[in-house]
Amino acid sequence: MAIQTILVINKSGGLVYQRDFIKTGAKLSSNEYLILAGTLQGVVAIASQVTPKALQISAKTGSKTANEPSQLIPYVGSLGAPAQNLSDMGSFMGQDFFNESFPSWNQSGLKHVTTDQLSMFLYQTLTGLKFVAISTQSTTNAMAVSIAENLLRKAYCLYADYVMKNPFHDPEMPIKCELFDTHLAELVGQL
Amino acid sequence: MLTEAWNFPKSFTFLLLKLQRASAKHNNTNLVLYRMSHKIINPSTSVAPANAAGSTGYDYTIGPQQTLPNTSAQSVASTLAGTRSVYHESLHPGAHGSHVSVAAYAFLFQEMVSQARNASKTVSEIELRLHRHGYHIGLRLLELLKFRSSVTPGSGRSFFHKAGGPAAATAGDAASGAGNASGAVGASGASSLGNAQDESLASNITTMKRRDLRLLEVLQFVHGPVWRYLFDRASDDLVKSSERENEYMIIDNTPSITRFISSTNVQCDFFVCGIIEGVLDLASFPCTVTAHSVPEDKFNRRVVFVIRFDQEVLEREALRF
Repeated sequence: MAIQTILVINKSGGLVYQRDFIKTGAKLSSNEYLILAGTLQGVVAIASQVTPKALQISAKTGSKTANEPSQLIPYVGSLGAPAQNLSDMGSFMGQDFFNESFPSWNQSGLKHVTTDQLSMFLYQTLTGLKFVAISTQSTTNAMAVSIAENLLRKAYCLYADYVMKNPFHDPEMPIKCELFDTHLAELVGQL
Repeated sequence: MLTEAWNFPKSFTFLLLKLQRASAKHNNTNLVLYRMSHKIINPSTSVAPANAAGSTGYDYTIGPQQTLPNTSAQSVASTLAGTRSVYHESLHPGAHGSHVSVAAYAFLFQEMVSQARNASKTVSEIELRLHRHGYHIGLRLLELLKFRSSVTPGSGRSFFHKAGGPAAATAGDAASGAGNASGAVGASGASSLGNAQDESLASNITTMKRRDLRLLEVLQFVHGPVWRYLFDRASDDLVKSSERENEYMIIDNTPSITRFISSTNVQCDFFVCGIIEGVLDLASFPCTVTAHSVPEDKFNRRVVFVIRFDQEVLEREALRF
């Protein structure tokens, strides 16, 4: 799975980060990326409305009692093999950013779009921030989806370290952090 | 969940102190870490203590009263920060867990930088403010670290066992004497336990460490103990400039506090410059310290702290010995 692009969309639907990792493929203009981000935001919102009422209610009551294991996304180990030295892990301990399966915060919205040429994965955080990965591989495999979720969750960890702890970054504004760039490139490069 | 790590040492408590003072000065800051109480002046112990706790100081029904120094000090310390504060803590080197969360530290430092950024107009003013924050930490560090290094090594274990409970009293620490041991056993409240600790800590110090008098000694002190206290490791190099007589350099390959900050025009390491300058200033080695980012192939965030001593320091070095 080759990652072509990673986008970060803030909670109001604005594109705050966009980066291409494959130089050759078809390129969108920056304006088109902005439209894409806004459209995705709208589709996610609509998708959660489309969810049948009965499922919404059962999800709400179910979440209070216990997290069903089916909602957990499995941890995919050695994805983007951890950095050689542990000091590169930022404020995270251990071998990898996390090492257990985690619940999905995107239960009623859009997760995955596939075309013949590419597939797009969405990871939504609890605060409404969205990480989007566009891959050059067309897949409907459930495994691929969970791999992508793991990857994007790691991108979220990098975001927590190198964007949120940077005093020169304004929340909700476009991300211009050199360290985030380099570490994200490292993460994608290790795939 | 995403921010957990405990691998960071501490100028942390000093930062808390510093920011507490800063927040007292500027009311608009959102960094009020302790709830500051204004009930500082308390009536003397001749009044019933229950009333004393609730009064605001001068009570017109009673008239002016004498405030005993020891009681007022106690109440100030206890009102400052609920139950425990940094003022209550022992100065013993082994008294603390030696790490703080790097994430918490990063957020605190981030807030300091943005506070400095909001308050200043130019880049050099931001750096100056950070420098000033660090300077006051440096002043305190020299005293504290010299004091801590005077404690006889190896005394920590017996010292804490004794203060910890009656079981340790049977261990029979010969050096500190029976009086201290029984005092520690008798102590039940937190404050009296603290007193017992202070007493026995003093008995652990036979001779105070001498303040560094030579230039190289004090630089070694910054390079070693200060760096170990702040960042849990000695700095990577200590170099003398070949061009200028009064110039020395401390090199840090992986600066810890600015590891999450990607900024090229504002040098946030000026905070550490301030710490170094504070230490050296109080040790009577007046100097100016600046930070310069000098990337190398393996360490792209390498920082060089350039220390320029005043001329009088060199003259003094030449005079004696």
